[in-house]
Amino acid sequence: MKDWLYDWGGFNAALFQAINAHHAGWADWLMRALTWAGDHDRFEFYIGALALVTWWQWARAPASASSRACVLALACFSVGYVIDGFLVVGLKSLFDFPRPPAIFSADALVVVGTPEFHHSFPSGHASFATLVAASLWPLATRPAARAALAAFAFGVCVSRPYLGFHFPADVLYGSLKTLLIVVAMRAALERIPGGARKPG
Amino acid sequence: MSEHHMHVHGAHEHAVEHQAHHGPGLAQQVAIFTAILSTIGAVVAYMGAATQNEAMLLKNGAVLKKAEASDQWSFYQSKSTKGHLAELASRLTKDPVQIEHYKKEIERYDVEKKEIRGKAEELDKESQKMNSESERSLHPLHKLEQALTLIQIAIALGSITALTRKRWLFLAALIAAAGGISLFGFALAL
Repeated sequence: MKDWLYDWGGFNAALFQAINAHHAGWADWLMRALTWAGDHDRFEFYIGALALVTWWQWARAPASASSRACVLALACFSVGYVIDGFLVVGLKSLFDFPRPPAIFSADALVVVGTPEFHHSFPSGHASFATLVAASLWPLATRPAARAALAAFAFGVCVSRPYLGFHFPADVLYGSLKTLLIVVAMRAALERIPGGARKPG
Repeated sequence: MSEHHMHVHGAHEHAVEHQAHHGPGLAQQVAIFTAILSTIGAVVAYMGAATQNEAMLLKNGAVLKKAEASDQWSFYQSKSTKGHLAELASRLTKDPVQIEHYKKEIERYDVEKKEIRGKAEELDKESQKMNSESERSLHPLHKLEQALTLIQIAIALGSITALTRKRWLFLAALIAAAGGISLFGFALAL
């Protein structure tokens, strides 16, 4: 079962090595910056910024469609963070898949930072970056803003195998899981009767 | 013909008027509540990380001191062995000059052993002290983690309040926030 769903018949490890093999100074810096920005420890900064935008939007145009969208994004992001956080911790403990340094010898991979050996599946960084991008997606009405959000989530996902912390399957499943959570939660939150309705 | 102008209020104007009469709306209150809590949450998260780093540094220091103490104990052991060999040699020989020489050597080793033992015991004490400090500095971490979780739950409950406009939910968010801030206070007091 794991062979097909996770190892992909060896393709998961091969893809990891393909991403992890080539390093450059500027790329290391960029990937570290992306990993830093996609760390769940940054939640307070993102939610604080979103709260300020929501406050400003309601002060500028109360009960408008964009104000409602801000409140929905705020709810989606904050509730999603709590649900996804518990899920990531639970799945990591349940599966306890080994990380790349526990599989490959030291000369067969590059780890930028302190190597980690346990709890590979799913990637917390990929989950959090997807949560940020998917929660803010409805607020990004311009194509450039949507491209920036997609690039952010994709960049964080690529940074994990590049830096030697996760296999591609960890980031792919982590990202898909969070995407499903956000879509389901948004659908549920939009059905909540009462406040933050579209102006009639 | 008299002109009677009838002004029809749109949703936006109605909301602006409502806000003018009743102050900032619930959504704005929630937004400010979230911004304040996220700031407190960032401080709690920073404190948690700093606590962990401090504990790790102290633990590393304790390990280094233990290694230094171990070196001193090995040195002590070698001096002790040399002392025993000198004692054996003094018993095997009948030459009074040699016997005197070995006796002096034994005395020298005893003095050196005493000094080395003192150093080793001092290093052992320092290692134990740093280890205890490391464990003590970790005590607030559990409380800080609980505080952060409660603050994050309060933020989530607050944002749902803005959607549902249920005041009791906002009360639940306030209780969770108060719990989180209290735990943060306990952690600081530890």
